[in-house]
Amino acid sequence: MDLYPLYNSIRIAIISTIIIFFFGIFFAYYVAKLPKIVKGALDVLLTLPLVLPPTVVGYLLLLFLGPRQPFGKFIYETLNVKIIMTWWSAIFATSIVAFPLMYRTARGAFESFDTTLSSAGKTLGLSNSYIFWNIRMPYCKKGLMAGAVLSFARALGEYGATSMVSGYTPGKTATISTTVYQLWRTDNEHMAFVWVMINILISAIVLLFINNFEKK
Amino acid sequence: MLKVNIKKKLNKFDLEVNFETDKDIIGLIGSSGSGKSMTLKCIAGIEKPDKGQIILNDRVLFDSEKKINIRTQDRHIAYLFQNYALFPNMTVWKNIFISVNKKYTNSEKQEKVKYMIKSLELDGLENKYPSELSGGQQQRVALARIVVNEPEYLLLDEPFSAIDAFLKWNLAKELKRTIKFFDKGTLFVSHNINEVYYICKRSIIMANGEVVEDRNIKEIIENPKTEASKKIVMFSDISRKELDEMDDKNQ
Repeated sequence: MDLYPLYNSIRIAIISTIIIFFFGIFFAYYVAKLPKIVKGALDVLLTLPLVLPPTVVGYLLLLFLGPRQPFGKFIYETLNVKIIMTWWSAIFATSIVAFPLMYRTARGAFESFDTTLSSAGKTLGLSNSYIFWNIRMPYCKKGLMAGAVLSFARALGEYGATSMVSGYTPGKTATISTTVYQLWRTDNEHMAFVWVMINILISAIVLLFINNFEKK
Repeated sequence: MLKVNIKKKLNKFDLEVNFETDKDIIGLIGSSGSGKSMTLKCIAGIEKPDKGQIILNDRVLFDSEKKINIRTQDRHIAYLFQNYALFPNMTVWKNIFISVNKKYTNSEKQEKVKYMIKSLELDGLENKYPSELSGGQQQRVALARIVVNEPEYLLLDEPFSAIDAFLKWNLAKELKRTIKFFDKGTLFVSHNINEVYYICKRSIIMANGEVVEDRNIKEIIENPKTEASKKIVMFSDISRKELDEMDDKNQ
């Protein structure tokens, strides 16, 4: 059995989780501080990928990254690199689709922070950066970790946008979800079932991990 | 000495506070939403008044005309929050240790923490987290943290609101002792006139963002001059006899 799809899915999910983790925290922290109207608008924009069909995200990505589109063309002509139909193209897709999960969980975590703690820190003479790293971040740690794990699970299961920007090439761009579709389409019911079980197993483990985390 | 003369526009009313204090413990009484917490926050630098002046021992902390607004960290004003605001991810020891005034060396800091733990009877709790402490213990840790920081003035925001009535009077006694030992000016905020009467001689009463009374608390209780202070005194369950008894103790 060729385990490439498992390996590829996991590396895509890990890389996009790392990207989302930092961007999610950054936006969550700064958006919460913005004036109400700007906050509302940005919030909609940053949460949109959660409710859009992944094929719409894929379509928009192709509009931007496609080899005949201005940006894609520019990258191809200057670096001689095609941004789509490679294994790492899927990172764009999974990052955008899973981003709202990290962003929203991190925002919830930051908003639940008891601001009297930072006020107390200030009256005790502690610097703002000390308060951020040693009081605010540990307080929000649970929420941030839960957001990262949820994003990982979502990135691992992404199909629609991934299949549009990465396609399906066995041994190159195949992920678990695209492999399941391909095997089912070619009447290889048995192998499709094996991959379905692998996917369910991984997702269940991830969710168990979250539950455990929230209990502590 | 603390001099406060500030104005700030709020949603429900305009905050307009003007008073002066000395080294004593002054009570600040008002129903919830009277502006007392906002006043404390302005003094500590957590909120910024629109206009006015805040002066502490000849040091200007805020002056809207001269555009002075010293940041909270440099005001040296201690603030005991209603919920004590202990850092939940740090042990009792660490909560006190990081609050020690920056001018000391590491070993001096350790000595200070040890001394505070001893004098506030926190022995054996050094490695506990705030969530593992009782309300009274939490209050003592919060006080230790404040005293060890060596502030020039003390703000206490409803220190007994999270404590059972049953334990309150013992704690009040303890708090009074700690403040005396600390020997700095203190503003004691409460909505309960009995607490204030037990701890302070002079009290300020606030209503709708304004100071409506500022004099000896016994006189206020005996002869409240405004509607707002009448209401506050009315809810006092202090009897004449208790008043006289406490008077003797206060001498």
